[in-house]
Amino acid sequence: MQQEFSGLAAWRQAASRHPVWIFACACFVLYLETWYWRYPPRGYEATDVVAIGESAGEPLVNFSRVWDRLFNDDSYMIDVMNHADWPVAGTRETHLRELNSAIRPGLSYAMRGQGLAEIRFTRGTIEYLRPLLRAFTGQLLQQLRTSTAREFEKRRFRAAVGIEVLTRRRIALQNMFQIFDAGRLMEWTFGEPLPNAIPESETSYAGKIASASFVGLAGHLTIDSVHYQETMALQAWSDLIASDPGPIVLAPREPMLLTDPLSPPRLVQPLGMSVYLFIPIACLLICAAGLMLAEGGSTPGRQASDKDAV
Amino acid sequence: MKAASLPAWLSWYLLLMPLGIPLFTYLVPADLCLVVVLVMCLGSRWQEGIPRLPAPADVRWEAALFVAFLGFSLLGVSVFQNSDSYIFDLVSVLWLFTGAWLIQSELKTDALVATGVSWFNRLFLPVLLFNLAGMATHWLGLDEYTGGVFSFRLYLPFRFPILLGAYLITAYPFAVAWRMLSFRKRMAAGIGFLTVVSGIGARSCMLIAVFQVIWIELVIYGKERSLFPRWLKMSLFVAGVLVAGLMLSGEFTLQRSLGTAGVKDLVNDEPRQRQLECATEHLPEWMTGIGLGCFKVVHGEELHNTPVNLLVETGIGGFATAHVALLLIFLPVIRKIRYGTRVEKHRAGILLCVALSLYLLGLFHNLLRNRFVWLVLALAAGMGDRNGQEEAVRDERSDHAGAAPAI
Repeated sequence: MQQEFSGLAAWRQAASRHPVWIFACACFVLYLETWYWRYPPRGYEATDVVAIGESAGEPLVNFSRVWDRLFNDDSYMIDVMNHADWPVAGTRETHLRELNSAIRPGLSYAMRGQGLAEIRFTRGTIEYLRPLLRAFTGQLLQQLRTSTAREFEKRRFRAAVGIEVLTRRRIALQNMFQIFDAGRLMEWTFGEPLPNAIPESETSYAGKIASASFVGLAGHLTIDSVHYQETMALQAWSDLIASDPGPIVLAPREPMLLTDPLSPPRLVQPLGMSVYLFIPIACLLICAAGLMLAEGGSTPGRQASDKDAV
Repeated sequence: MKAASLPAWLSWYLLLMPLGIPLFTYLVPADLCLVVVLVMCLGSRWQEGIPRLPAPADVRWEAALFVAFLGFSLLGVSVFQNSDSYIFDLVSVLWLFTGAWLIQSELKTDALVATGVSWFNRLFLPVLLFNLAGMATHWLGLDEYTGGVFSFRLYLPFRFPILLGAYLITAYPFAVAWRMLSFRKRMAAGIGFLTVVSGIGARSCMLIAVFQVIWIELVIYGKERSLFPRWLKMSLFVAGVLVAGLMLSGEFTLQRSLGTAGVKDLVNDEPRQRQLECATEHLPEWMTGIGLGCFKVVHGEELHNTPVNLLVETGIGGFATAHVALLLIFLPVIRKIRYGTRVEKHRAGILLCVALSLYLLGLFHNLLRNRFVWLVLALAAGMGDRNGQEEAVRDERSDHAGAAPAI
């Protein structure tokens, strides 16, 4: 024990002979601890999960196209920075420099399945992380909603036009072949007179001949297929315009933010705070190495006197 | 000159170093010698009582720098997350440092260094002939008898081709130049060396092997007086190498070594470019590094560049410490090249050639855990040891006064 004590005493004395080095090491520890407190390894990240609007299983907008369009739009991004009260002042050049150095490298997205997009913002420090992501996602959602609504209207118009075209074609074919409307035939009940598709006065001799022949059979088939297409188009139409059924919507028509905008950022590297534990140990080793090197150059006479003092 | 005797463990260690197939875990046969001597050291320490904490003044600068390196390696930001990988690399480096420390502590004089090198040289020729014979069996279509171990890249008696390459690059200058072989023997050894290195299928090894041969012929043997002019001898040598190359020109490994088949040229080396891109991703963390051994866990592959690997894993501090240590170890060697006796100049030149070759090889591979690198460090530390310097000078004086030196 005495020997161990004497060893420690030698170290203590060596430390007292090199106070500047000890002070520098202590400062180094404090600096690193403070630095990692503010900028933990790999920084913080915040994520927002957005459900992209879809209808009848089809996404209404292409998210990557919208992302590329907005992400590369400098005025849009500067607008986002202003909304988030990003701490930058000065000219537009300063804003752009900050945008390209601090914001764009940290922003990214990843598709989770078909209808979900995860937007991630990574930054060295926690400050202004969530406000910027909130502002960005908010603006992005606005754009998505606008695009989605426009696309929805476009699709609804196309579907309506398609149904109208099919209905007209069916009516034209029925008129040509003098065949009952298949829909009205289905409504007919036994014992009642057969429904008339078209008033008797409008029937023609050629039509009667046609309906009783091979041409008539072909007409039947054509009208059936058109009717089928019409039914499918009507079904798609009802899917398209159906309103959202309840609070949990698996595939909402409108883009919506699923995560809470107030959810706190988290560390990118799990257990990243363990660095606080290792910094003092590492610096202790570096400090000890410095003492060894410094003392190694000491004169033998001083070493002997140190040993005597112990 | 009477050969100085080494402890038995060290002689066996140096002799067995070329046998690099691990017996268990990662320990090769030579490591058993270190295990034995470590157990003996610890036993004797135990008998003396509880070991005293050494005073700072008692610790040598090599150990101090190593402690600093360990400190910087621990500063890495991913150490805790990848603790198993960190501990593996830490234990490996500690083991190699302990081995090098024990070796250099025994090599106190130049005569002992020379004896150590002669022990290390003993298996060079057998390894070279073994691989040449293996190549011949492949050339003659006898792969079914050899199990196909010589059919692709040569690696025996190691686990990987690059380990064989590192060994040959370390051993060739010692085996050829240290003993000052005659031109005929040198030419035979050089052609055999280049042939085996071509069978390793590594461009970096091939380039460095060619560099070594040229360095040895032009720098180390540059001032040798002989009957024939140097240009004629060099032309003969080149002709010999070209003949061997022509004979092997159909071999895939030779083409691979020249970078003409199987791999892209070094300037467009995709894996290394990818690794360097991964390394630059950690640029903000170069101040402290990501932690020793953490790169391969984070990116799934090793960084094949030792200095950059040091920079990424141990930060600027670890990188600087390692290079300061290298400089301090080799400064006395360089001083010997300038101010030493003729023998000292010659041997220091060879050591520097090996060190330079390994540093160049380290630019293409991760050699931090390579035994030969640490052996060269130990030899350089032993050769440049101040305590042994006077004794070494005395040895040299007696050599010059008495019988002619071995060179």
